[in-house]
Amino acid sequence: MKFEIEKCKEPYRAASVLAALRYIGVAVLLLVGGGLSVSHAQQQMAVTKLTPEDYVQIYQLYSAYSDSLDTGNGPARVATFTPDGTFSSFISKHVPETMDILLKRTNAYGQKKVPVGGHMLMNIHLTPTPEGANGTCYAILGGGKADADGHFYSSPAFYTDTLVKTTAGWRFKTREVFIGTPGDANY
Amino acid sequence: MNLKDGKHQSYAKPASPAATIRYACILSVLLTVGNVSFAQAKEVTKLAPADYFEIYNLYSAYSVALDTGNGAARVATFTPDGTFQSFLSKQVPEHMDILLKRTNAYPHKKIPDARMMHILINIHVTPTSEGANGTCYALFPRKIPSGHYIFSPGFYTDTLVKTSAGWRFKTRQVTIEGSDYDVAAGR
Repeated sequence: MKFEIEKCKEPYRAASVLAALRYIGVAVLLLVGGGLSVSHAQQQMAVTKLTPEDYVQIYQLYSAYSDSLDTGNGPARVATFTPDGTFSSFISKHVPETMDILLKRTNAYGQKKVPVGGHMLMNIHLTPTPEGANGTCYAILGGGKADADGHFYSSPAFYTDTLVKTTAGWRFKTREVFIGTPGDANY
Repeated sequence: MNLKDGKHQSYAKPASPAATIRYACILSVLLTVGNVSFAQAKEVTKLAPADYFEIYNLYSAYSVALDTGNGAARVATFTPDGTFQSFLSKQVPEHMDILLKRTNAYPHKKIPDARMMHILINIHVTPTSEGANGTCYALFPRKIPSGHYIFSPGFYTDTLVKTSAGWRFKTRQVTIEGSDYDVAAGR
């Protein structure tokens, strides 16, 4: 009986060693495969993908831009840009303006507690770039006074933006707006 | 019992190194194939935040592609077997080749302008076993002789699927308030 047990031990031991090797082999293959997937995913995340948190922060940025502009809050509007950011529109004949000009003009609009009409931004489209993201959005620009019939007028517009992620969050690096149709006075 | 009659030894017989490698490879392949099959068959019962943002971006990409006369980009928001229907087709589903041709015939622009804009808002997405159902409101600006813009309202109903390349429209249908066919059909 003892002999038989001893005899049995050797194949068991050998089988155990080989089984261990087999498991190690499988584990190595799986780990290598998994490791490659993880590395690949990390690279994609870093360069070509925006996270849900990025989307939320950027959507918030677009809203903060409108709120600040439509309440005449220059510092808040400028705070949606990087310090070296630029803004272009028909007002500047589409020449990029720096933040000091934007601050001064926004403060001159007159302060309001809440926006009425103003810059309604929608259809935001984001594309990740190595520097951050490109953004576009449609807009309906309203406000002003009603005409004799009580109608308020609005204009459709389109924004093109570049964005960067700073330590303080996402910011516009450049913004340009085109209002209405080419040929319009305010385009 | 097996220990005594020697059958056990045959069970415990060590596998050759070649057999071990073969088993490891087979197991790896089976695990990989199993994962892929599972992913393909996976039903969407809940949408993750990333799904929502991808879908929002898809809606925006659709508008930009259409409004810049980019047929390839518009068709790329659909699955290859996707369909689109509107008053233009008397609400009969059209295939991608027709959509590609018609979109390419629109003016090609760098950015959308008010001559044609599809402003999509209020996107509502519901998960389904096949992917998701989506709806959204729409505004289509139009310039009137006075130089002002008026906006026609519309409504889209969509089905979406998640492909290996991301979310795509499987079907899209738009109803536009004021379009002759939709009015006649009581839509």
